[in-house]
Amino acid sequence: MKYVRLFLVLIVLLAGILRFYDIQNVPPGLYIDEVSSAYNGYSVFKTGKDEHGVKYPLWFEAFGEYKMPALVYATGLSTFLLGKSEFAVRLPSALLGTLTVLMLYFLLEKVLLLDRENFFKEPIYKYLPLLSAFLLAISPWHIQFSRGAFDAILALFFYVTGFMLFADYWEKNKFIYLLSSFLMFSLTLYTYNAYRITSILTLLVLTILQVWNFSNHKKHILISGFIAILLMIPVVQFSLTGAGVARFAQTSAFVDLKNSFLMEKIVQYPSIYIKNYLSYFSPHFLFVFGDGIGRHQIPGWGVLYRWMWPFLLLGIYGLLKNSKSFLARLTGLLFLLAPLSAALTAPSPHSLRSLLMVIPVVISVAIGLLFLFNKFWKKRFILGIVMGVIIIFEFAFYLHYYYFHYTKVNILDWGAGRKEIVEKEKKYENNYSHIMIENELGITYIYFLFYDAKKMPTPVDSDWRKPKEWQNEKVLFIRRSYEGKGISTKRIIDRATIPNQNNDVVAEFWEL
Amino acid sequence: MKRKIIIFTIAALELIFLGQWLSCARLADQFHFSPFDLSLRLIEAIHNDGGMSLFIVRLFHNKFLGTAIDIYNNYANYWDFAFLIQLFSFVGVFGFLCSIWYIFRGKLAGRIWILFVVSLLMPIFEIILTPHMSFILRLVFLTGPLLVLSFMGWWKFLRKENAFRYGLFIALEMLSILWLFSVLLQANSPFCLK
Repeated sequence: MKYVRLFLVLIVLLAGILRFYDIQNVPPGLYIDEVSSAYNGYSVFKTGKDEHGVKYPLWFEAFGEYKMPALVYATGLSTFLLGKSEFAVRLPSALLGTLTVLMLYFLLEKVLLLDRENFFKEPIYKYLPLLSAFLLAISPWHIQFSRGAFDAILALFFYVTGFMLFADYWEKNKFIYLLSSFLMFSLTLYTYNAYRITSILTLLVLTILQVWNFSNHKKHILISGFIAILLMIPVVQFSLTGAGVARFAQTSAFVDLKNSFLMEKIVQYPSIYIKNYLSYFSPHFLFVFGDGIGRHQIPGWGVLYRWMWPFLLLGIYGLLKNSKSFLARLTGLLFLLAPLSAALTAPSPHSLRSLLMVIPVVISVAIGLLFLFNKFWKKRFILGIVMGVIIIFEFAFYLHYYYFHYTKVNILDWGAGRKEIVEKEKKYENNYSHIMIENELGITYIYFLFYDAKKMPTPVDSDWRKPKEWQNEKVLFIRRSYEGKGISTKRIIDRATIPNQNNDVVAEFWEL
Repeated sequence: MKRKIIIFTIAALELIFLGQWLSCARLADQFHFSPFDLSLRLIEAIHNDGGMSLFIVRLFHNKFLGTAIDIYNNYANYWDFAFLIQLFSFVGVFGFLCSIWYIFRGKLAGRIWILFVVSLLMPIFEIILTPHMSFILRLVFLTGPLLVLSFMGWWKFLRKENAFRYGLFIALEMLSILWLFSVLLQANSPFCLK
């Protein structure tokens, strides 16, 4: 037991290193949602109001949609305490991402206790919590999102903690565990949109399980259920408004079918949904290519390691064999629920919206590995060496790609260059009466707010010309790079570059 | 008798699904290995490793590893649910999964293992060899073992006669037909080049 705890500490430490190391530089730059969340949170902690002047809002308006409050307040607190830096913005995700590893360990430890009498009796399965925690710690899927300010990482932490507390209640029958569990599930609704469906369904399933197993504890169920419902009312109310469904309207998988004939809708709605749902179980998504969005994984990599595929299948087989165990039911439930709401949206598969799936996947892979070792126990040393070499090699390969390739190839998928533009603008802002910025640069006002620019540039089109009435005034025009395009570059006073291999120019500063 | 009729229905549906592929000239590029693509990607990858020790560059970016990863990636595409369903329907895929279950549980005859291994190996021939054989013939080799296994899976699954199992069969048949209609409404398939 002492060694198990020691290994747990080492695994959490490893998870922490993988999530915190050089977090301010990799991924390179803050992308727009990170900046928006952090700035609004910071503003609320500083002035009590968000960027739109709303006092202590529950929903944060940002670029035509509304953000859930948990990440905004979390990044707000960290930037308020530590200053507006990349590290502070990403601190809550990295921290809760690391703690999720610990929570998964405790969850599985409890679940195994519930199962040990009837299922997974072989001694090797006592290492399941440790191995699952280790696999989550090194999982590319989980590392990727823990190193950016993503609300889904926070929601996953609350969700796993909710399950862990529920398992605690199952074991100890103490009301406080049930209440805390339900509170955690309710909190996920304030953290990430996808959980509006997932958590409510989870709570329904768990409530049914409780009524079934603890019929003499109806009071516990009633009180905690009532409190959870009370807490959910604002989200449900919000979800019924136009603002509440704005995000779904933007990302719905069925947008193209709006003007279709009824017959086509009848055929296509379920087909699209089923196709989307199944895409989350596709090896192409899991092991080959991910969802293809640059911020979500390294190009040419899936969300999981390639070596995991056979063990995932073996683990699923092991779970099906013990299908009546609590562990199999938990994993099965998570497998079914994880893509449920994500499949309603486009694009599908989408690794962020289905992040919950990483939990049943690592559990299954761990079971698969243990299953194999149990089967070939006599050859465990050879097997251990072979597996160790494969796992370490692919892990090192991943880290190589993540730190040395990803930061160069996908630099523009993040906010690289934005900070450099603002820093340069700050340098010149006092010398000019007007500062204009080309729309095509794709840098919005929120970056100027976050990095404390005093003068806000006015966005204009690329063909903008200095008006006659400004002839005697000095104008700074921030534009895309026009170098080598036959335009005189005499009036360029400075350039903002990105820290990639060629130091590419992202913006030119023209004095007009 | 009832089981035989069901298996016949399954076979008919699977053949209708396979029929869609008759107009296909070859499978899409994602299913085939290309050494030319690999060389280009290796050059690009090495370009990003400026300043890195030569040992690391050689360890992670070499033709042996690149080929292995590419073949793995191509192979994984053959087990995409959407592809398999389009190949031999929902009912077919379910039957195939059942057969794997029964094989692992030792409830199907020992020699069925061979068929299972063949079904796992067939995509590798298609990936590497991309032979000068007609597409239809290659399709038969690719899907033949899968179809047989799916029939065996259903045969075993329906041995216990109960409403749930028959209900599941009907539901999957309906889903397959729905899927077929949705495929017919699409102009292009992402899996085949015409």
